[in-house]
Amino acid sequence: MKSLRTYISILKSVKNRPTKQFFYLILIIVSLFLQAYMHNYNIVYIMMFFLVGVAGASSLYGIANIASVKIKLLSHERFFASTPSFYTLSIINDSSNAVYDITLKSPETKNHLKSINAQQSETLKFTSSFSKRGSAKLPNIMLSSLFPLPHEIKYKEIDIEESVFVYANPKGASLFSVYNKDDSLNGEMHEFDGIRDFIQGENVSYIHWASLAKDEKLKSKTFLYEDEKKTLHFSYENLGGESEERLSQLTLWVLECEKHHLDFTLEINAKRLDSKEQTIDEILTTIASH
Amino acid sequence: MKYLQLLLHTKAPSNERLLDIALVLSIIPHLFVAKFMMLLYIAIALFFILKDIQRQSLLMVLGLILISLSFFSSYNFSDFSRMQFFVSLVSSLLIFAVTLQKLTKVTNVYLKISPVLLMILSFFFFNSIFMLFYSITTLFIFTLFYIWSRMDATLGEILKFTAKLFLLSLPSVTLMFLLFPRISIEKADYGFRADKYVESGYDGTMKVSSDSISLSNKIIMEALFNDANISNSQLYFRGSTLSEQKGLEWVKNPALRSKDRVANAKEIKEYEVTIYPHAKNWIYALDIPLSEPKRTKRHRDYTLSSDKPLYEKKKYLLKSALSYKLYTDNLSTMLKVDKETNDKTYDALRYVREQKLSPKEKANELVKFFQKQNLSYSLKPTGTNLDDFTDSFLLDSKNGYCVHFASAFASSARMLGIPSRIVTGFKGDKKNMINNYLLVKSSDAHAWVELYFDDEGWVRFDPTTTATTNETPAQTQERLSKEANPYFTKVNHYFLYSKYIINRWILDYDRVKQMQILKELLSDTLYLLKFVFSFLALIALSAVLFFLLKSSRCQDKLMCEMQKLLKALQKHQISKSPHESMHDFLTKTQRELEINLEETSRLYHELKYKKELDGMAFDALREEIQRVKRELKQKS
Repeated sequence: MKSLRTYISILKSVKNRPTKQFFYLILIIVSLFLQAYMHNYNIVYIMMFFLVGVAGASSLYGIANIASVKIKLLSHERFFASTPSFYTLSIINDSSNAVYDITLKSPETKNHLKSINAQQSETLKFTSSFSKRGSAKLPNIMLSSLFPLPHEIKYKEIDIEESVFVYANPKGASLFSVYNKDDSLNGEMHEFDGIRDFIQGENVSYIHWASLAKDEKLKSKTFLYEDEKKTLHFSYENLGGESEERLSQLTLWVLECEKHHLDFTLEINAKRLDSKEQTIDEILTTIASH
Repeated sequence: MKYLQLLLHTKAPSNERLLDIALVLSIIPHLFVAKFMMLLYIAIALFFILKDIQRQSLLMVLGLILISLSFFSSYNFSDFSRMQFFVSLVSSLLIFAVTLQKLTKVTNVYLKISPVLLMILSFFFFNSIFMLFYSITTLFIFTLFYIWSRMDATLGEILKFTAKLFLLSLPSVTLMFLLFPRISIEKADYGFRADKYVESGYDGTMKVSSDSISLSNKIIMEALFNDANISNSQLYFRGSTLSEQKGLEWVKNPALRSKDRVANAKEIKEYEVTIYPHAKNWIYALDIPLSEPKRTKRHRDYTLSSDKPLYEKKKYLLKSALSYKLYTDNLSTMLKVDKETNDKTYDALRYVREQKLSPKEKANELVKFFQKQNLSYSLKPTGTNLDDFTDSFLLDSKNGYCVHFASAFASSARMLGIPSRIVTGFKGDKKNMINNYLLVKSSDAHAWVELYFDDEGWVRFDPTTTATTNETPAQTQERLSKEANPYFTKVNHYFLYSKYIINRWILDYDRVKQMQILKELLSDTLYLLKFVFSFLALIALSAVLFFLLKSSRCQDKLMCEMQKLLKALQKHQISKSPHESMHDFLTKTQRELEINLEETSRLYHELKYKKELDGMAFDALREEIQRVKRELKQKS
């Protein structure tokens, strides 16, 4: 009784709809029916019944094929509003049989797997973009299969049941283009260590002129020690523009600071956030939650 | 075996290759009906395709010429009305189109549906058990190919999978076959005549000759009785009665045909007879038929004939009385005998004539006379003089087969003043009977005699039984064939029986049988129970076969070994989630159960990430798993 209930729940979870081949199948069955019915050709009847029977059995098989497939979120990038981001899903075959011909479709990505062995899983990468910042749910995945016979497509929608936080879209002027003339950005420099590629927007005092003269390449100097007493300070209130523009600007700067290992403080919502005390994600979340 | 293993491990060939195989399979039945010129075209087209000769226009012209030639003999307007001509033409043109398309190497939708169309067309040509098996096998292969092209699996796996699909569909197919409503239009033959028919060993006349005869084992007919309660001496199938003797020949003269009437018909037997095509009108019925089926005629001498010659297998439901009295009015021609030519026999029978005996007693004396002559049965008669056949056979050569015995006995009876006639037909043998199914072969062709007594009517006498060897032709033939290969004969007999049953219940299943089953189901509870039980048994059988196929061998040897450990751990309520790594799982288990699983984990990962499975490491893992299982047992 329990297994019957399980089977009924499986049947309910998987839906199907006819494909183009279904109409071909109907055409063949009708042709055979006419041939058989008019003259009682039992061979033709048997063929017709086998076609119907095998098509029916194929439906049951097709349902069982995708019923045991589960999806779990493995990892994801940071999601920024209006920007496509990747996330990876683990496609798990929970049954004792291999499953075949699985197509997984999200609103923006389509993936196909020829098979997943029994009790095994496969990892697939999907893309998603959200128009608004804040908490968001990952889109459902439409899992479908034409296995074993393609007269009908079996499908089920899987709710990943995972929420992600979408940060504000990083947009605006680069940190370096705003602060390159501001000495406060530069601490004291000691013990010249070497050179590295110049980052667009960096203070010109960092430029290693000798390299430019020699190789005609723009290089920046690096030091073993830089005085870090001068920390960058960003303030939501001090920025101009609309609210979304300000948040986008702050997000961009936070990301740039993270990339260039620059410490900063940020004032927003009457809160003071410090990159030494909070993680970047916490800071970005606070910005996005504004 | 090695090649079979290799074949079973083959991965799916390209879709083009699968389509090629499907096309070849679907063309096979058409080869059996195609005319020589068409076969020649197929051979040429195959050569062009295999050798990749890109001369499409040449092949097209050749094809048109050869196809026209193949239909040349039947090419007139009236033939277009014949379904056979029409279907043959369509199938030829389809094959023509397929070969031309194959030469272009472009797989279009028409080429893809061609195997199905060719299959449907082939159903018009054949309606036999072989066609049934061929059709189901081909459907199985088509399904297999269709799935294989979308499934990353070996042939072995796909075979199992397709077999499971078919097994799953089997109960529903059986139910649909039994219950799907049929209409009562009889099977149309579309004018498709069987090109081959067997000579029945019986031709409606009987001529005495000194030629040897060889008997064939070809099947003449099959009979299915309601029960097996019938004796060997009742298995006389009446073909025709021959009352007029013209020298050595016995003929039935329709003008002089007696008008018989049956009285006291008892032991009524209903049975079904399937007569194989013999291109004549005769229908053989057990002595003596009481009714005539549709499209047949019952003659005045209680013989049956069909309205049309039998060019294809026909089935008749017959009713015969095994005990009867058959009276007649006109006996004038039944006493005519040439006493002068066979004067020695006439003299030898003088002692019977001179006794004051009743006709029946005289007949018994005649049987005794035959027995005294020490006549022997032989398919190769020797020393018989046909000028005075009866004298020569009875008094000199004393050997012959049923024709000699019957002719001599009928003539002798007439010499005693007893009206006689010869009946030709078939004498069935219970040795050829399985349950209530009787097989009648060409070698069962027989001739016997009927003598007329006023109070009893026509009474059957089989003079061949007076032979000293006491062996009928069928028995001789059977003995010889059994000596040659007894097992083959037995197997063949059972094969024919199975074929008959399949024919009866599958190929010839119709509305009548359907209604019969329905009637039985509604009226007979036991039958209903049997039906339900049989259906449940079929479901059970399908399920058993299904699960037998399901228990496939392990594909991942390492994982299968680990499964043993995982199963043992499951008993301790510790299960591995599919997304959980083996390392995490083993570490967690070690912590929870306090069992050392480090070595198991090390060996597993060593084997997992090696290119080839290391035998020694694998053995070590196996032992390690055994150790863990022992520890688990101790813990529990």
